[in-house]
Amino acid sequence: MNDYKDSISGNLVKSFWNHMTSQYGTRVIDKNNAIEMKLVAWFLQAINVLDAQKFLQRYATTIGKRIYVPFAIGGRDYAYNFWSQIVICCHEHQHIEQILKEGFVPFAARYISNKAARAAYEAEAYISDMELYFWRTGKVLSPKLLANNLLDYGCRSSDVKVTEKTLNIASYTVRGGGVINRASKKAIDWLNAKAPQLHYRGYP
Amino acid sequence: MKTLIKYNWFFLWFGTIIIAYFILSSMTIGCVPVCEYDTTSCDGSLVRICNADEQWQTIMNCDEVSSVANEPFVCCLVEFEGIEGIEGIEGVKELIHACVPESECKGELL
Repeated sequence: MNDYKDSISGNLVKSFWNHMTSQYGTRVIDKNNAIEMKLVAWFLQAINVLDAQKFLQRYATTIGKRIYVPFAIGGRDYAYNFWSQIVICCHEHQHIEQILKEGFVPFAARYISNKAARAAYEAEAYISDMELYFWRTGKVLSPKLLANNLLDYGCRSSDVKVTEKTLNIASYTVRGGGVINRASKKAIDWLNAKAPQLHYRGYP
Repeated sequence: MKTLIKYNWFFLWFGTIIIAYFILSSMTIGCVPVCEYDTTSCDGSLVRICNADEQWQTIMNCDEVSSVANEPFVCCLVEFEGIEGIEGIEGVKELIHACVPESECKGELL
């Protein structure tokens, strides 16, 4: 998908992030310049959750209502095109939904101490990736490829298999026209209103 | 010192998480298996899967699924068929529980 031909601009990406952060009261922070992220990276590597370098460079991270991103929102980035910046925003705000539901400390403690729980939280957020991709293209992301990302999170192959099946099930609902995640609903409502031309049919 | 004050929220949070992590990790009483790994089920409007710890985990709540058609979704047993060209599900055919529009639920409805 070439976003230079598909009328996604940096300003659209910024507007989208502004919308979602105002909906949830979240803040966006440059991950590369956050000292606390280096400490978290060290800790996650120490407990075999995630390689420190990968954590800092390849993933956005949500702590409480702070979202740390490894790219400039709305800026051209070789690793994160404009559409992926939109998807990441929705993904991280689905984690915010989880935090709002469970409370930050229980969520964070379960996330770092229980592999099955970590896989479940990420599976739910990957559903948002799937929903936005379907909105954009009319197609389904590969559940297998999404689930395999969890190997970088220190999850077991049995967790990856459960995640793959979870995403298979979600894909069935998504293909049937359903929107499952609350963050996805907010995102899609905004996209339908502000960027309907990006919908795979050219209109919502 | 100024750095410590500026980041005291972070250290407080971080310390709490580390303590919680070690408490949870050191708990020797494992969960009692309550389901068969990798199976799915409906619990009212909830679609569930049995995770690697053999505990039920909720995948989605059909009451919260929305669509353009505004038709209610229900948890239903359906035949999942893979999609050509999508890695991992090409050629897959299995019975699963999923949220589907109510009018399309022909299988087990709970």
